[in-house]
Amino acid sequence: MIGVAVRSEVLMGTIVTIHVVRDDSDDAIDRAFGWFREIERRCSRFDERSELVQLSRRTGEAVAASPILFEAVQFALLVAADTAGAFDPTVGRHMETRGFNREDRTGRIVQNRVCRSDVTYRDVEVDPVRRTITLHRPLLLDLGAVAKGLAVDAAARELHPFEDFAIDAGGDLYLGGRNPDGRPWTIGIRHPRTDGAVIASLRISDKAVCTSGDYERIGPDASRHIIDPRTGGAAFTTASVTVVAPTALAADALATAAFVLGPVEGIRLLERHGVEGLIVTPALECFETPALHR
Amino acid sequence: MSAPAATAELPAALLEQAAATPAPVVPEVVKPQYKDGTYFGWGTSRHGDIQAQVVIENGRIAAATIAQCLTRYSCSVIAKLPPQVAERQSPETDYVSGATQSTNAFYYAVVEALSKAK
Repeated sequence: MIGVAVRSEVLMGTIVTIHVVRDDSDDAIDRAFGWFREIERRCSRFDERSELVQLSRRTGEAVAASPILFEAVQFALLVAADTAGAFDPTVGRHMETRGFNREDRTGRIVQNRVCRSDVTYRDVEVDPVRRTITLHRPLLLDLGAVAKGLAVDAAARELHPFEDFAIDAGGDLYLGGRNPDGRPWTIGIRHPRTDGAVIASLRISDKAVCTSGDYERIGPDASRHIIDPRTGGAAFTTASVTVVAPTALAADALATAAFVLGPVEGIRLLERHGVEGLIVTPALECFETPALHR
Repeated sequence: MSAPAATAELPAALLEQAAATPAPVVPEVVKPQYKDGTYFGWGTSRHGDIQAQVVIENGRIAAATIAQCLTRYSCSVIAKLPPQVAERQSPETDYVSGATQSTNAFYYAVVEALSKAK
């Protein structure tokens, strides 16, 4: 019988489970959860003391950033530029306008004071040499998906020596090596319209799997929660996007961008970045990259 | 403004950047300390309410399960926490990608239960 270690903690607005197919991994699991806590502490937009909220109080000056915040913002801006704003970390202001301002951890309503309706990722500048971030206009970044991806990847690095492990951050996954049966992990893709059903199943090893669905959160006016940053309205050509990529950071950001782009352009985006994915429309049509099941 | 020149390097950056970040420092290990015992909490979703039962042993979450389910859907579908997760969500599936309204409601229920364990 192979020993396994399975532990869960409540972090980043979700339940994070780490599963290692070895029983001598306790310290590494502590460090893996430590990354979630550290990244949440720096990147939360709901915590007044977070580095991100502190940054939002300083407009028009180059602010020195910690490595974590800098990498998260730099990556978010790269994806934003690459997708011409289909992914935009300044989208938080649209979500608040539409009532998506409930804090993940407590459910309390949070009003942020610094919200303008016409800011975009172009109002944020990073300096890769000085490692500074400049907000050219008052805005609050939403690093939710990027921060979670970063945390999953950091945790995966801590667990890498154990080879066979799984990290589940509320359905954002990284699967290392093989499952307890010695086979690639079997991952179900949540059916976007039938709770409890899966719409597809994949065999995954040493890759991240992230899914963006319109079913995750529904606003007070029954609007779906993935916003098209280019228009401020809900993106409605897509029900869910699943991306399989080498890192959760890439998988999460590309899933969000592909959701907004819709099935045809979305698949094109995934192919251009050499990652695999599945896009399901509200009519339950499935669009896949060619090598998804390989 | 963010340098548009970086766009050309994006594919490599997207896939490799995470290998280089965050900085190679050891994060502070803070172990959550809960009081041992069994706690209950409620979570709400558009589909109805879920009550979670959370068992704390040695200061850690030993198990979190659904105690009551007042949703339109069967609660058998919602992920359970250790040790149940080790037994697999179904014989064919190790993990499921994508979180639902019901998993969110379960999450809020667990958070409420844990707030009583502090």
